Amino acid sequence: MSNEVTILIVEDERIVAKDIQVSLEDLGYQVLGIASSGKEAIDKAAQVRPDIVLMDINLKGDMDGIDTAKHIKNSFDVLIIYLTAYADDNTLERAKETEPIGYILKPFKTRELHATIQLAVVKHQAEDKLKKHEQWLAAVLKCIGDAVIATDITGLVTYMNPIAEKLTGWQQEQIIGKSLLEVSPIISSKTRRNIQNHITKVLQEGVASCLAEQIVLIAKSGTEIPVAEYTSPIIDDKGKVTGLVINFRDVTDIKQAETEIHNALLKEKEVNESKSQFICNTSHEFRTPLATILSSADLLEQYGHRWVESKKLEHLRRIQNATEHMTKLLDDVLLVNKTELGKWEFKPTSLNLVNFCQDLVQEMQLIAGDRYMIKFMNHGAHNHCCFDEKLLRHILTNLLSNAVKYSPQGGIIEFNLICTQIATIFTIKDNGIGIPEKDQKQLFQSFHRGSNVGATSGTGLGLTIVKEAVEVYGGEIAFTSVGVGTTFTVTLPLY
Amino acid sequence: MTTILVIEDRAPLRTNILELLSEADFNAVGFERGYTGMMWALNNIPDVIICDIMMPDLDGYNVLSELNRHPSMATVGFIFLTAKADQDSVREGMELGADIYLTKPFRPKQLLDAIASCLEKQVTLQQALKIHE
Repeated sequence: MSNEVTILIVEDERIVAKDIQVSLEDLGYQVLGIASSGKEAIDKAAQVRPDIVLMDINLKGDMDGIDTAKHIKNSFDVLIIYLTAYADDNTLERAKETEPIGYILKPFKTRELHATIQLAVVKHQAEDKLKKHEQWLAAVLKCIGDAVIATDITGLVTYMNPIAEKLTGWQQEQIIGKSLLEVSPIISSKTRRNIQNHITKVLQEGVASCLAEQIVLIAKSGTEIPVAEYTSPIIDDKGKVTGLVINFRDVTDIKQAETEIHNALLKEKEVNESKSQFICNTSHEFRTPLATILSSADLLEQYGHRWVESKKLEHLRRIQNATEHMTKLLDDVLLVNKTELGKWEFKPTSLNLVNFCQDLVQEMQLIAGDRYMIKFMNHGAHNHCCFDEKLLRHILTNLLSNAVKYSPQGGIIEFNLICTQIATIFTIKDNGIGIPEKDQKQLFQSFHRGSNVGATSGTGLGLTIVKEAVEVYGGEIAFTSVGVGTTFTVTLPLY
Repeated sequence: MTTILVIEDRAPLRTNILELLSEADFNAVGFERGYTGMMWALNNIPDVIICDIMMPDLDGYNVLSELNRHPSMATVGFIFLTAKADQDSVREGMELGADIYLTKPFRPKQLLDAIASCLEKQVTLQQALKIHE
């Protein structure tokens, strides 16, 4: 150990200084220099950076040994051992302020000097180790991801790490010595009571635990932050509880993720129930036409031999119509299923919209017959825009077909095309049976048919398909129907 | 002559059922709507009612519930003839008090057997009521 310790001697009597130097070097210490005044000592110490300064208190000049030691200690870490012939209380008091590692009274023996230096070095090393350990601990607490607050046995805060400062909004110095739960309450989300009972229990029982219930921390700003907590007692080496440490972390993100998962599961459940319902409804819709087919076939088989031809033909037509109805139903169901699988693609291509509408009107007019007149009016056309012909056909065919179907008296069906700068608008107006108010909310639901449709055939999926097609297009559909007649308005964005 | 009321909103099927019943020598009356069918039943007390469930205005469950409130309908047989073939629907229909629950599609024999069963029960009930009086 001796070889590692470097010493600067500050002594204004040269002979004494030299004598000390020889003694120290005999003991194996390295003497880095001798200074005879305060100023010289400060300069030399800064230059050579000794481990220990042997400082004569009574130095000649403006600065005595104590002032010099103060100056040196303010600049860098060094151990001071005072050499002095004076032992009065005032001097000792002044010297104490510089926190010397030891005093040696002149005249002194070499062994005494050696022992003092050795003890000083050992003590310094132990203090240094402790200091480093404290620094490491502070660094760990600073870097730890959780908020850490320590309290004494009465629940008053003794320590708070930077994460805890950030979370609570309080600085450590503002909260030290105060009751944590008064300054930054932690309460149950459900009961709104603070966790004092839990803390008291940990302090009394000396066993670490965490709360199972959901809790929130109320920050300085008043914000409530959901947290997870773990409280441990601080137990000394005699087994006595001296305080506690509360670890907690912000679980806002976790709670949000839990909520999102919960909502997603609910949505999925809804979707599955909806699909289940759709399948149930579809099977139901097939059963009635199947019953018609089977009953007509059975009647023909059992009683056909005594029926006239027209009656037999009637039943055969019934079978055919029911079969056609089921085929249309199947097509519509497959189409609706396609949209639900996300397989309906939007593919706009260049289309002469006016020609398309005129052709469609011609087709529909042929099917509708002479009792109807489908009037098409064009108010400006976007002939240089792109349209998805397939989707348009689904939308307009279904709406025009419904307009005809639900106008049993015949009459005019107005089909308008309106082009604005940002959209293409189609309106289809009939003077038919209208849509009763009680049916309007569910109009686009699959298999829903108006309560006034009577015997008019339909799958109950036409408007579902129209709505899906409009949505794939990125457009909107609306309708009005008060008493007699219905007007549908489809607005599609331009591409 | 035994009178059978048929309440079924789909015309082709309703016509077929009425024809089947007519060929089997029943006096068959048909209605498209649950409400109008129910009102006819209350005023005319048929022997058996064959009723669909899924109808636009008053559904079959409501028809039966309403008829159950009237003592005059106590001996009238009630058959649900419906596309609702799942177990829950069957249970619901029977718990409401239907005598028989038939699902579509059906064979003529099934329907005729169901009617026969209702008529037998009606005779038993009427005899029991007579004894009670």
